[in-house]
Amino acid sequence: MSGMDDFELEIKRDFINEALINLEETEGSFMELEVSPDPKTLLDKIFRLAHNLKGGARAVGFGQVAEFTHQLENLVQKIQRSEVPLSSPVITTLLQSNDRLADMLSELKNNLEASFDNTDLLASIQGWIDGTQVAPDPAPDTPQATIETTASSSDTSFDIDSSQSLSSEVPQEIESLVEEKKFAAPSLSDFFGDEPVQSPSASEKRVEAVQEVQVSELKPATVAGGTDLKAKQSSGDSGASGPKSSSKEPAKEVEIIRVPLDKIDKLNDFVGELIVLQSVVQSQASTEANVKLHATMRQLFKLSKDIQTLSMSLRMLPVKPLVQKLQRVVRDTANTLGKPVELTVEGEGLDIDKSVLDRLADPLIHILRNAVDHGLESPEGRAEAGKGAIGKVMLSFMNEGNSLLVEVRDDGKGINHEIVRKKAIEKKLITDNQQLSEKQIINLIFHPGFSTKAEASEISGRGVGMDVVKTNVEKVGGQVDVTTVIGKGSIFKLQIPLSLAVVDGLVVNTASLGRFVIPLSQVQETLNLKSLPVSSGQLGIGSCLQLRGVVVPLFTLDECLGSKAQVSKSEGTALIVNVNDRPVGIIVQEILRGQQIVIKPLGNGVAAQKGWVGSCVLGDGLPTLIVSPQDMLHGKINYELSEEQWGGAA
Amino acid sequence: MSTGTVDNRFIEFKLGGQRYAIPLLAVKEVMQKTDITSVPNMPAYFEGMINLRGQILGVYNVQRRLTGKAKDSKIEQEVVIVIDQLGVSMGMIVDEVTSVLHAEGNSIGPAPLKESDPASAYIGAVIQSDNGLVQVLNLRELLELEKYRAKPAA
Repeated sequence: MSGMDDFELEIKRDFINEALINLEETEGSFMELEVSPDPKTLLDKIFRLAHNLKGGARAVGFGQVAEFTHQLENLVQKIQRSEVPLSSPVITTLLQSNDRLADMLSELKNNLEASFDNTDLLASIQGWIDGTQVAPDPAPDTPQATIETTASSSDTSFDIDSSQSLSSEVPQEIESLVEEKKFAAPSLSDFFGDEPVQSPSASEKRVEAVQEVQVSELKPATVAGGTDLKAKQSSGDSGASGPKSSSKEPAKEVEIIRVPLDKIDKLNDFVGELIVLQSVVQSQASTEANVKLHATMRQLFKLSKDIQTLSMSLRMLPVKPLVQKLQRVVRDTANTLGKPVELTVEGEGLDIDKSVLDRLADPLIHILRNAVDHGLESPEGRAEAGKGAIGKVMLSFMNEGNSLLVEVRDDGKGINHEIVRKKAIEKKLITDNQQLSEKQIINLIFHPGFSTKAEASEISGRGVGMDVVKTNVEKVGGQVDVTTVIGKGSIFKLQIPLSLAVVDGLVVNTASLGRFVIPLSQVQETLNLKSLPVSSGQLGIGSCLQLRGVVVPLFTLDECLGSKAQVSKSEGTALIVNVNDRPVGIIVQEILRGQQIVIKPLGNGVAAQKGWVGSCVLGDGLPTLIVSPQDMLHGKINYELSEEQWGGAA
Repeated sequence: MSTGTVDNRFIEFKLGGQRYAIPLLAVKEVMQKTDITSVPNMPAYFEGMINLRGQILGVYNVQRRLTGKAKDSKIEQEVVIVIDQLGVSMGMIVDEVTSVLHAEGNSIGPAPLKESDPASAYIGAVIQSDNGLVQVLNLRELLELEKYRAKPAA
């Protein structure tokens, strides 16, 4: 490393970063090859990518990358000339090459002198070029329907690790790509495209991404399952139309710069502070009689709000790259299982907060895999059920108020609640005679103990990871819901706050500790305790409340936070919060207001404690803790009744 | 610890009648004490948190940290020194900031520590000034900087 001067280091790093972005965006082109009626344009794009990477890698001295892309380029050229027929297995090889390139570049990012063993893939590519490797069924009408595993190569075997590396790519990107959703003229692409050695600029790749968006939008969405799904689809479209609408504007040239994420966060901090100061000045000015001052204050108010909206939007990233990864997951899963699957995606033009986007990948991968593996029937099963041979999975993203709604639908066999019930009894999650609604039973699939390794298939055991899905989604303040109809399919709904940095909060006052903020998403309802019969506690039992036939234990927020002060439990307001799926009342002295809050980390010196989400600055400029009653009480309340406690009575 | 640094300037402040100093380069700013929000379940020397232009900082009450005693009611602690050291930003409450000291040559040296006094853990060195000794505080120990250094983002 000593021989490298700063300049050399810099150009190497620049090359790697640029190349990683290019790769990610080209993955979609590889995938589209399977369905596109005109693969030529896509092949041209892939060829250009390989060619540019080769040139760039040679120029900065990454010999192995250059060698690999050279070989890849040769294969693509053969396909372009129709010397190698385009087939699902060859696309798999191309996708693997894409992955391998990403792996190599990521490794180089950490260690500029890393070396690699690519003999396996290079041999496979060479095999295609030489014609020793052939697709079993080169020209099918529905390419995905021919996903039988090719015995001739190991390429089609499912690589479980690939999904993990896919999902971990997102958080690894430290820098956020700041971009406008406006588009560059195609001529720009041609211009850069003619420069062979120079690695393509980010703006060019944007142009390509845009073209992909347009291509997929034009593709008619084929959805089975009748009018219900179709109606939903149109509403999904309208929900997504806000952020997406700009894609229909005429092409417009835009420059893109990359900015470190912490700069953007800093900007947001300052803007947040500006808003606070603005509101302080406004309240101070309200006592003045000066009319001009009030007019100016209104202008200042509007301007600062605009600035806030804009600065918040800088953290927003398109879901498109995530969608591409998910398409890949579905494709790979379908290939391995030999189930023909058609994935329809909606709302991929949406933008969501980077941190939400990062945490969405894993849950969605789990759900989609389960949908293909367990939701969809085998081709024979579908024929028996009178369904089309190709299983349909639909993934949609839409905005709903302050939340992002993600839906995964499949038209498979649905979840049989009787089977789930039997299994839950087997696993001792519920008792034999426990009365549960169908909905409650279905929700047991999210229980951590529901799935066991012994029954897990290669891809996803029944319910494997479903508890992880739930935990992950709840971690970002979201909720999961599942509806299912036997024989028709299932719908998984994820509701997630649009931004992790901003949440709706309830500002509450406690009797002994001052103000706190509680995330509104946790609060089911609020009750005035004065008007309710609170049982003040008996020997061995704490205070509780009977609410619609359910006994709700009561805790003061003060005691949750460790205060020793004696606070009455029969006055104030109880916030009903679900802890381990049971209602619990959290008593506060009063609810001051609900407001949007910007979450900041706990200040230095504040030792993190269970359930302390972060801190925020309220309208008067004072810092306040944000606490999560759900987390504070998690595990503290024991509800599970053993047989003995039941007294053996049925 | 701090003898290796090139800079020999210290900021001097008063606390409970005593003179203390900390390296000038560790100081981000000095501000009037604003409203402090107290935080439950924290040690007595943790005064609370303040909002410094959008950044939320913990504030230590240095007097309590050093003496372990409750604040002497006669003393009005009015100033917060915001430090930025080892990547950690925190506030410390003192009575008043008096001057900037230049510790030339031999005027700075190891403190004659009285090990039985728990406060000795927080004293790093002494500076001999014209009007007596000034204790140089060891910020790393005093403000438990190591604890917050690698703090993961919440």
